[in-house]
Amino acid sequence: MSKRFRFLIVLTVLALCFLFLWPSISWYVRTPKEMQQLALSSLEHIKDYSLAMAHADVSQLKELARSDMNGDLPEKFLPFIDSAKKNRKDMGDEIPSQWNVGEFIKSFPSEFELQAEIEGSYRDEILKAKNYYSNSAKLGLDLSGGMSVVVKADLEAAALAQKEAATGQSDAEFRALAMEQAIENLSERVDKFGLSEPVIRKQGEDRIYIEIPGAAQADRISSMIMGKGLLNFRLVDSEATEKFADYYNDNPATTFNSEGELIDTSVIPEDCEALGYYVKDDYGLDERRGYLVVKKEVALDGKHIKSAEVGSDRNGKPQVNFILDGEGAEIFADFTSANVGKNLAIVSDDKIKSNATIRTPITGGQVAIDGFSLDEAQNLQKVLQTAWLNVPLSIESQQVIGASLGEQAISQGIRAIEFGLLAVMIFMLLWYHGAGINAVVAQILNLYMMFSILSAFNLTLTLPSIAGMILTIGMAVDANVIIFERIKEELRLGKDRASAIYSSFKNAFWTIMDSNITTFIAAMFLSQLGSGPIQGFAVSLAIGVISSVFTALFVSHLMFDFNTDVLKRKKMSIGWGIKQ
Amino acid sequence: MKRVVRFDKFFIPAVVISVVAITAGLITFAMRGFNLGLDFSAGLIEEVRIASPAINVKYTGSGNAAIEVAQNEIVVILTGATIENASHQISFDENKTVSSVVDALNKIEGITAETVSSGDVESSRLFADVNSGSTLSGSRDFPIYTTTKTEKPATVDSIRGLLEADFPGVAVKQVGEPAQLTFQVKIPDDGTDPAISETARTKTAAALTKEFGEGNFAITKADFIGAQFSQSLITQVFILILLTLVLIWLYATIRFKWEYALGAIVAIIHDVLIMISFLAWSQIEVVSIIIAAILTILGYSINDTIVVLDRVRENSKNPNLDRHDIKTVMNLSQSEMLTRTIITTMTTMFAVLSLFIFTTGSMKDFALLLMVGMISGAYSTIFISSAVIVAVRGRKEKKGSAVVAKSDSSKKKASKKAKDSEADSSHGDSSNTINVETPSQWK
Repeated sequence: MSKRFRFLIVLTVLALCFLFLWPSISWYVRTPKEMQQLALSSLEHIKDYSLAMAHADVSQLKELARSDMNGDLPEKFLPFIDSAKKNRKDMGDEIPSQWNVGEFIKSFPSEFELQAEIEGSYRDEILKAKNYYSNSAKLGLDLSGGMSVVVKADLEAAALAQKEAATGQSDAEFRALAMEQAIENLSERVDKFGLSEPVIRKQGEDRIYIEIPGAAQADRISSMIMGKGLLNFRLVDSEATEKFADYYNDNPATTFNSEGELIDTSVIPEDCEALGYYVKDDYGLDERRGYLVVKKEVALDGKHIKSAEVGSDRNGKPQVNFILDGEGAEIFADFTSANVGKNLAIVSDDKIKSNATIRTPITGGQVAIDGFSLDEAQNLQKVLQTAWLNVPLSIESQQVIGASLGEQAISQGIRAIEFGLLAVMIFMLLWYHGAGINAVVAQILNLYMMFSILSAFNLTLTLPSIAGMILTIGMAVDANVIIFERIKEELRLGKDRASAIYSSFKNAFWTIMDSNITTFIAAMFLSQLGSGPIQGFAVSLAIGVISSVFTALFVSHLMFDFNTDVLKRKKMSIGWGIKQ
Repeated sequence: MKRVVRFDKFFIPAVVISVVAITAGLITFAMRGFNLGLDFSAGLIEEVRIASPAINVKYTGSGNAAIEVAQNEIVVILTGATIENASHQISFDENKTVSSVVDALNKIEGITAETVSSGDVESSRLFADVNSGSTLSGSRDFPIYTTTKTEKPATVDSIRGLLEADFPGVAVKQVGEPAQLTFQVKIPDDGTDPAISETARTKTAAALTKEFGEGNFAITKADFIGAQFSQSLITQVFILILLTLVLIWLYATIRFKWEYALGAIVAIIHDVLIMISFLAWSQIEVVSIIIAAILTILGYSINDTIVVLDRVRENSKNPNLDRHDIKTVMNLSQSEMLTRTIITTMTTMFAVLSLFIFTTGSMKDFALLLMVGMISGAYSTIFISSAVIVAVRGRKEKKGSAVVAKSDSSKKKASKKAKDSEADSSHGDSSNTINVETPSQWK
């Protein structure tokens, strides 16, 4: 392999590594904490925030217009001038040379359009930060603090309960369905806490892994995981809903406080509450379409639902049929008779999932809801299913780490890396003199590559993985030592610099490969053991092995050759007692 | 020519030392067993600090407020559409007392902080628990704790006494500085209570509340492992260690002759046994990371051994040596690689030593175990693996030289050759080159 080619490869690798490292640097160093907080919250929260900010900006603009049409345009609107110019072109108007408040407002056909655009820019900014986060290396729970829970779903008990409902599915199908249900329920409940980017995923056949980084209310969350969901039917107050919608449009930011409670409770009748109405979007996530004002009183409790199915009505359109038990049928009959023409909301865990009009009284306990697409029907059926399909969950393992302990761990890890690296570097310089610089550069490059690979694959950095990196540095130096000792031997035999380097690298190649492959084997096996911290250690060890082989064989060789060819060195500075 | 150390002289004493150490370790294990940590013994482990709130914080603004209580600062992050988004840092270095911190907190818009304890308490002693979350609200107090003198005594015995009624198998020990009143409470899960994770936590909280008062203790860590999980983990560990050994042995057999591979594998088994003995003797808490240490040393020690075996293979091909005399080849190879073995062990030691110095708890134990393993690794590479190889090859050679003797035509010459080579090899002279057979008339 020619030297120039080798040089190109090294450069490419370094550049690639920087590319991978960039999101991590952007997130941890360049993003301020407030933006981080926003970026980590749920999409719903981000949307609400952007909308509220845009609304406030537009209101501010209107105020300015009222007082002085020719006033200067505030700085924050300057980025939108390009869009204003484009609108002017489309409208066929000429583009003003000077932009003041009046000209700017004229460029937008409606207040709503401007607000939507500003909202979009706020949202994009936050989503960009969120993107950095998803592409960077994450901090493990032991460094960031947080909670991890492994939940076991008792599918056997759920299967027994299902037999009563008898919906005719095969066993395997049922299990998959039950797991999906359980995971969805958990996601919704954890979401309610408004925590940053929780991770909820299936592990194996019947386990769910939940990870909540950052400080969270540990005991509340654990109880919530074990608890059952709430499903009930409530009456919708349509008048109040309309009034509330207007109120919310005018005051998007000041309607609810940070806990989700109404700041001004006089906006809706005393016996009602305002809940969000959610529909599943293209990604299967809940998207809030608006708010409905529903009576606090529960019209029908979900426990009366015996079964729910998706079927089609007389016209072939999708509808959801569900059957109530005896008691439920009676309650429902009374309720529907008294409220024909009004709307009924199906509420699941404080979220409204369906809003249906009561057309006729329903006395037989067999209810049909129509007026949606097949997807919507299936989603609703799943919601109703939670009433009887109850998968009991038990906590199999749980770990809670306080955030301050996490910080302590980070500083420990950093100091350990610094000290370890320094000690190794000083030793190499003392023992191997000039060649020691070679080793030092190789080790620094090693660390750099390890971090970028971690970032590239969005792996998690834990204290054990920092330990893995430190260990790798110690072991990576070994490759350099093997080569340097070899070079010393060759020089002692009387070879000159160039041939000593050449034959050392050639001979040492297989020795280095052999020893590193075995460490790699150990690391690969280790990564299969458990999850979280140990995996972090094994993965960083494995990564370290790869990068250290690269730096020892490629980069070191290149550096020696550089000195030989470019700097025309004849002798090697490689320690004491080597006569050249 | 480099100086060659006669390692083979030390083979027997080295093997004896190792056998003694390992036997002692196994006896200790039989007597004391391992100190199984959380991952391997099911139950709840909580870190409880007997402390009371020093500051209560509320947020009554229109945005969202999050709070982080760290080692040397408190950070309050405000976000929201109607307020100025900012993060406020209150450093403990600048605000050395609780009252100073409370003043700084109150300066932040929307934040109300009140001092509950004495205002003179040092701010560096403030900490938060894991059950308060990080969001500030207007209706709920967010407590920031500090350790204070308690009315009722808070000792290992008193706390154990509180919990023994509900959980007879509870184990309590004090961790950290004594003044910090931090206790590690271990409640085992014997599989009888399916909701043990909940009941263990709630009953502990109830008992502590009864004794010390509502809110006068803080949970700073909580780990729970169910009975099934820990059991499956133990089997997993065994299988993993076994598989790693097998795979490494296979790899070594492919790359080298089988007797070399045998030497290598015996060396790393030796290391594993030494580490296990150390675990039993030191009673270090065995958690997953400790198993990671064992597997790491497996990979690391074989690393060492293979480098030497590589050199042995190379020297065996060298026509200037008596390549049939395994002892000389071994001694030579080990001596040549000695510098490298020592330097590598030293540099990795630097790395692990820095881990040992700067970390606490399990990571510190991990580093300690690694150091033990690395020293054992160097030792086993130099002495144990070569001892095994020499022993096995020695037997092969005896058979081999007998064969050579028989095929030789002259019986006298043959027996002389056998005698000479035996006599020569007992010298093990480093500059042994070609075996010169002295004709009988010259003797």
